[in-house]
Amino acid sequence: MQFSSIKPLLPLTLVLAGSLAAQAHADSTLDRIVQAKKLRCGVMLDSPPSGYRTPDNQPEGFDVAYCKDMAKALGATAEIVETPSADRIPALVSNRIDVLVASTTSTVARGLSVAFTQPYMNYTTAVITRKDSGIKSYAELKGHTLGGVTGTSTEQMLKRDIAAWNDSKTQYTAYASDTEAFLALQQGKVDAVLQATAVAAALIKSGQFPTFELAGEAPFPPDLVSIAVRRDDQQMLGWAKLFVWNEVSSGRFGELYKQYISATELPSLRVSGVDF
Amino acid sequence: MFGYTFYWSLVWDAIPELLAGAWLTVQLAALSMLLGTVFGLPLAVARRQGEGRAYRLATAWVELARNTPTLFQIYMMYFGLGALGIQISSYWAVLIALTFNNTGYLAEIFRGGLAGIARQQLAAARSLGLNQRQGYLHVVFPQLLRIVFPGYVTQAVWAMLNTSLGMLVGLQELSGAAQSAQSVSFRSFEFFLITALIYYVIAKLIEFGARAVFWRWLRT
Repeated sequence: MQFSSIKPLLPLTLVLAGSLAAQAHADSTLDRIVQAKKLRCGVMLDSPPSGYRTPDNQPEGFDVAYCKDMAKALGATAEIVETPSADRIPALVSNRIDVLVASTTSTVARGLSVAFTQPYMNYTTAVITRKDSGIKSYAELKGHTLGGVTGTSTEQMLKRDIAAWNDSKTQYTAYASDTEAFLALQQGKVDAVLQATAVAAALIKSGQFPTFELAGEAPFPPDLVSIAVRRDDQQMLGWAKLFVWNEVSSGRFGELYKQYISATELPSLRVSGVDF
Repeated sequence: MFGYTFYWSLVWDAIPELLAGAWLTVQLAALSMLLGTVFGLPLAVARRQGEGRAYRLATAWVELARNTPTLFQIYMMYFGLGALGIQISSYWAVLIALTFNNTGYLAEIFRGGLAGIARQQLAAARSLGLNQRQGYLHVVFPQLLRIVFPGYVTQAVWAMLNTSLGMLVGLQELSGAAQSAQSVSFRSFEFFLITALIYYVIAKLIEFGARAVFWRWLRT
């Protein structure tokens, strides 16, 4: 085809391209999920009972159940994408997932990268130690070698306390994931790690690490965790917030909490004196 | 670009941590290259013998170091020894593993260089009254350095880049420091771009430094 023959078509092509671009711009992740009938959902699968794999390698857990509920509400199927702690937010920013349901604490610094809903779950933080370490409480961590996972909010709070203790014998090592941190604790490279109480309890109950025990809870404020979506996607954020509200008001939150976490009283998703 | 706004000030605030990490990276690269040279030279000589216990040991070392992933070697030093009840710090685990790795590669680089030096030179050195060790130290090795120089510098850059694996066993070298600094806000692009730039600058410094050394002392 010669150039002259397509020349008259050029304006039309430009208009088409322009309208397509405008269309693409208006598209929210929300629309894409509904149209594609597929929700790519980032979950941590190394922290039971929030996220783990069943013996036949299927993703399962509280966060996974939330993802499936979300997909169902959108008329889509959930595609669970495993995102280890340090990869959670980068996975969302780089568009490998549509939504992050991975027990993520909504810090203001992280808010520079992604947008958070109101809290959908409340975790307390426990001290996991080896039985021979002699540590009985959080205060006794001073003077010990401690481990954690890079990029977690518990790491940030622990580091703050270590700085305040100002004790040269208290050493902190940041590992790439829970797997390395638990291995380091088991081998005696560190004497304690911090973990969400529900996760720690599930880990000890599993019998995978017979030398581990709980040494009370860390005196941190309740770890209210949120669902995250891409920062510039207000439509998706609005819907995700509605979803969180709906899970609680419909009683589904309580149902899943009982199923995965504990049969005790439901934890509060609010901090008193603050409205989200 | 792609609707992403870069927040460079966050990286700027973390520059002291990144530079501390870079210093650790340079230190580990330099030490592991130095030790790798010290162990690699006798290994290369042993490999050239072609038989005997020293040859078999050297061959096993070279085979293991060059045909297993560096990451595996670091894990073995840190968690592998840990499982046997031997606890060493992340720093030492990475240094030992990288030295092991460098030694394997350098031994082969040196062996290649030795092949380029006529065997008769050693015999000539012996006839002048030098013993075997002196012959190698004063006659063979000085020439060797000139021959293997390009390969040696490549290995130095490679060793420097390999230190980044240390972050997986909790070492705060440049990658570990960057990972930890970016994880507060997860503004990952900014941090990783600057980190890549620092690696690039270090690699270029090694290259230019090596070129200057070559020009000053090794030019023929």
